[in-house]
Amino acid sequence: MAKTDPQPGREDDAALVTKMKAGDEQAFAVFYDRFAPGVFSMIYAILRDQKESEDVLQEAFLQMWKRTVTYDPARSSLFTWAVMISRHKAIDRFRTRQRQSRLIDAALLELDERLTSPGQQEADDPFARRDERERVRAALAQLGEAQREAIDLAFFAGLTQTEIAERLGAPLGTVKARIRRGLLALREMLGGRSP
Amino acid sequence: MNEQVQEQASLYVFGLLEGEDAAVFERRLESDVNLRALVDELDATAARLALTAPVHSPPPELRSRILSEIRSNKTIAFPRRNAWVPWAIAACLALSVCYLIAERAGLRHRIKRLEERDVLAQIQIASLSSKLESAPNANAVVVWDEKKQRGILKITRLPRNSEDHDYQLWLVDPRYKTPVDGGVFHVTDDGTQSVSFKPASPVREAKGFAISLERKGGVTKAEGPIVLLGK
Repeated sequence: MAKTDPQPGREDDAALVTKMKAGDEQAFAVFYDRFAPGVFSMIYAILRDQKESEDVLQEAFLQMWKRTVTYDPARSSLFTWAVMISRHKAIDRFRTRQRQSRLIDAALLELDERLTSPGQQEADDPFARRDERERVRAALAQLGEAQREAIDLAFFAGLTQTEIAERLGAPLGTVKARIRRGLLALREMLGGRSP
Repeated sequence: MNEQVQEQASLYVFGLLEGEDAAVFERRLESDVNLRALVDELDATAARLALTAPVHSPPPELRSRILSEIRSNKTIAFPRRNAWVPWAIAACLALSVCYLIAERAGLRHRIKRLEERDVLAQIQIASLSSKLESAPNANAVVVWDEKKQRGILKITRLPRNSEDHDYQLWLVDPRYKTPVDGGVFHVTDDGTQSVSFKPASPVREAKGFAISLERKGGVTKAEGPIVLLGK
């Protein structure tokens, strides 16, 4: 059974995806308007860079357009699909940036040594649904601070397990347990379905 | 389902399982319906965390750009079968600065910030991204000192070249019809390399850098596929 939450007055995920799979650009525009603003907020929260966030949003939506056929409504809502693909791309970009920053630092050091010494779409945007946003925030607030921090870093910070443990100053096993307990608790509080 | 499996599922959803752990988990995921269902539920839960990000809107023109992109049905992947095509693009890179500014605006912005804060203000820094489908995370940085006509190239995650091939660095300068030879190199087993280079001809305006895979010893004019490209 498809994990879509019917919302009065708008096409459901499956109908939209059917049109997108048939190459309907207008359907893709609707899809973009529905998800892009919220997805962009998440990407920006990860990258903290306007231009890079725009690049990643573009990459993510082009990938979704090209890979619409891979979307399985039985496994996830369009919301989850769009968020997780975009997050994956943002985290990839974040890690590439980290690697490049390290390379640049190293190269500069080496060189030094060697050479020199949208508002109108709000109604259709699930991210704009304040009730849902508040529900998630309230659920997060129910978690203990340690679990909340671990979940926040796991989702937004682009860190590895070890880096999260270092950042929190906690043993790795403890951090893993916090992420597990925190995510399972959120699932219980929010249910397993997406907006 | 025991706690250990739940823990792995939670880490997997956040992309925190790595290497062999991730591979083992994904194999199990293919055959375990209950685990698949748990991961799907956790995915949906994790996705909702996106709702907590502070609102930050994309510019309206980005929508037009993306819709225009899908209409023109452009292929993003770099054409690898025709070796001349990358060089045609490299030539465009030299001739069409505006296009590249738009294309890699984010990177330029970041590099500009680095350059601005760097005491070595005359140094040009370029980031090269992968054109290899088999190694999309390969990347490199060129630090180029035009005044001294010397530079440093640092590479990570590039596949090791075979015995009968070398990687070759090229500098794109609009004064020349073809890119200037920056020398050959090979990468180690871990995909890294750090080399100091001096171009075969004086480069006054480095508009871009590229790395191609060439026959052993290198060539005077690029023949092989471009593996890394950037400015």
